[in-house]
Amino acid sequence: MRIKKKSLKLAAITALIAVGVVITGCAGVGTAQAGWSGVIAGSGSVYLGSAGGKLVALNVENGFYQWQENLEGSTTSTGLGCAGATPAIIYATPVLSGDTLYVGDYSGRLYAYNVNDRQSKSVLLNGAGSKSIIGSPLVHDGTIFTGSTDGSLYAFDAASLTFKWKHDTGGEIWAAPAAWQDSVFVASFDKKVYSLNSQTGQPNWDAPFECDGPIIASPVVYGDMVIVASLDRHVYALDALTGELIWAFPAGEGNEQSPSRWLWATPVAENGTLFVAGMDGLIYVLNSASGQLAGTIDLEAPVAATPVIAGSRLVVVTDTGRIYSIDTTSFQKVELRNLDAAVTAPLGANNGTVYIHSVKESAVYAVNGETGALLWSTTLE
Amino acid sequence: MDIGAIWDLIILKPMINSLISLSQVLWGSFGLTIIVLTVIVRGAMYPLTLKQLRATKAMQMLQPKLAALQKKHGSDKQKLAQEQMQLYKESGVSPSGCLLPMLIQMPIWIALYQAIIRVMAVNPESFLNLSHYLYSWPVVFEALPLNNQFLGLNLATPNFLLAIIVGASMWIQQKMVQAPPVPGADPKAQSQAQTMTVMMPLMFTFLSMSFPSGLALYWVASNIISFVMQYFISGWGGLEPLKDKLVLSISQLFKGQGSLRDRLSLAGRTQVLPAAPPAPEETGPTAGEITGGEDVHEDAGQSSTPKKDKAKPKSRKGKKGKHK
Repeated sequence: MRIKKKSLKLAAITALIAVGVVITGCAGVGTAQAGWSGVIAGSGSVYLGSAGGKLVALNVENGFYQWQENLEGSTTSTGLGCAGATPAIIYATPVLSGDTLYVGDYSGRLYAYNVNDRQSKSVLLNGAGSKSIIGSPLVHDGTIFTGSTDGSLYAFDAASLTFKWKHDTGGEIWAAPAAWQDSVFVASFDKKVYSLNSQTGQPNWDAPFECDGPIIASPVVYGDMVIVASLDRHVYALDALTGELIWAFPAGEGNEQSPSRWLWATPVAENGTLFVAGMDGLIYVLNSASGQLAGTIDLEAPVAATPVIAGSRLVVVTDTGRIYSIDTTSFQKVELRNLDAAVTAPLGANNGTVYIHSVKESAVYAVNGETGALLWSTTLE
Repeated sequence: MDIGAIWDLIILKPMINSLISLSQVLWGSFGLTIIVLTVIVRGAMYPLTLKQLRATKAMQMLQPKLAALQKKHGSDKQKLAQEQMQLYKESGVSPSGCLLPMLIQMPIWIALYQAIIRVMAVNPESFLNLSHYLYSWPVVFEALPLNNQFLGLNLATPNFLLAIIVGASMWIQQKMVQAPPVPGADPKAQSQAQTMTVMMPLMFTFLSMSFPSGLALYWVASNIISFVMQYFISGWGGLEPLKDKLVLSISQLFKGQGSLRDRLSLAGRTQVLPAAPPAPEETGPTAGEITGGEDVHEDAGQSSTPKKDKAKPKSRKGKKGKHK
């Protein structure tokens, strides 16, 4: 009897531990992974990748569901009892080119969806050993470009998704590429910015531009300059033709009060002015020609979501969900509303309406960029 | 300011930024940084660890007497408590002596564990979240992201081999903490200790199979430091009988047993060998006697061996007097 009791106790402890292990294994370590796809508007719809790994199309007028497609995802093992097919995780904001919607997922697969008949094709970037796609793809001159965490920029034929070329960098690529004439620019975790021939993938510059920090924000082509914001808290303006440094702006330098955090969001250029949102809660307003600081706007909370221009105003959302509208000439800020929802996904805009995806709330909000009126909101399935 | 914010400000942020800054000195290798920081933190905690291990050892040595008291006064709870307190007082042992140093160290271990998880940034969300913990030091901004490759391992993904090493090192450490079987000790307590010795390594092996191997590396480094400390403070502990068995097995494989013993410098463990000479010293402390605080540990492992050999460990102890 005593032995039986002891055995039962041991079995109970073992079962408890086993359940704990499986639960912990399934939960994984670190922040939960859900992606941060932004929203793109076009053809009467808004498109985004949901936290559940679906490509979603909503009616641009009322936010009603039009369709959704499950992305393939991948087969990985995250621990005991958790092996098998895992849903796709989408960080890249979809890109619409004609009738085709392109999006990449965390398993390293690039998809092309026809938004009319919803026929799709996809390609795994690097075969079975493929790494992830974090940054949005770019369609330019019939070619689709996408970076990967394997450190390469890939070029595929936009219509057939046949491989054209790839160029290796020394670090992961999270930033979306940018194009200008026959050049494509890509920034990498190796702290470098590359200019490549969009047809051949051959480097255009004598040497890539190098700074002191990894680059997550996408390069922005403005005039004949390439603007880059780095995690080293500097904004750099480069000559698009030669890659030479035109100016550099040290964000937060000399301001002892500033916590000087990362520059994560992609800068926005408008009317000769650059708006650079920082994780320190400040918007740095710079003269695009000289890099001189024209002012700072304090939003009192970090900004990771890339802002957007809606009409004549810059719309910014903090990671606490406060929406601000900033006049692009007077730099006056107005708080439009508080979504009270964490926002890290890049914002989208169309005809003065701003589209905001809160991954944490699994919801999309359509807000008037001038007045802050909530036009509609949709909770994603 | 809530407790979480205070924790982040005082403990977690300094740990995270130290980890990142240290990696710059260590060629950007996150694996090396985990090992070095674990050594530094454990080194800084050494006085507390020492206190804890000594107190644990002393408590273990009291077990036979406590068992005897239990047997004697089992029905009278009040008398038992009184006698136990008296025994603790006479022996100069405090039951809280084992617990208190461990409780003080606990937040540091948790912070180190959390810091490793956060700096490892196994997914993009974790990397973004890391920005909330960084100081405005250029070195911190330039170091990130850290190189997760170490000795062919990707520290951000689970590794089966490292998980097995975690389990093995934890088993050794648990076994060393455990007192060797002592006659008269409470069999219930011994059974519980045995269960823990098996369950803990098993649990951590399974956890390591699910968690990024950077954490497994931290556990392995921490376990190795633990059993090195344990060895110098209280010897092989519960591993003693196993070690003797191993020596015997090896000895039986060779004909020249004497020379093997000499090579392995294991003269003090010869009592179980067929050709063992008698011990030079006649008496030593009997199992369970508290004669000199932690020093008595050498005798505990000899419970299954003839009493005449009890003096052997003492002679070894004489050579290693600095362990006191």
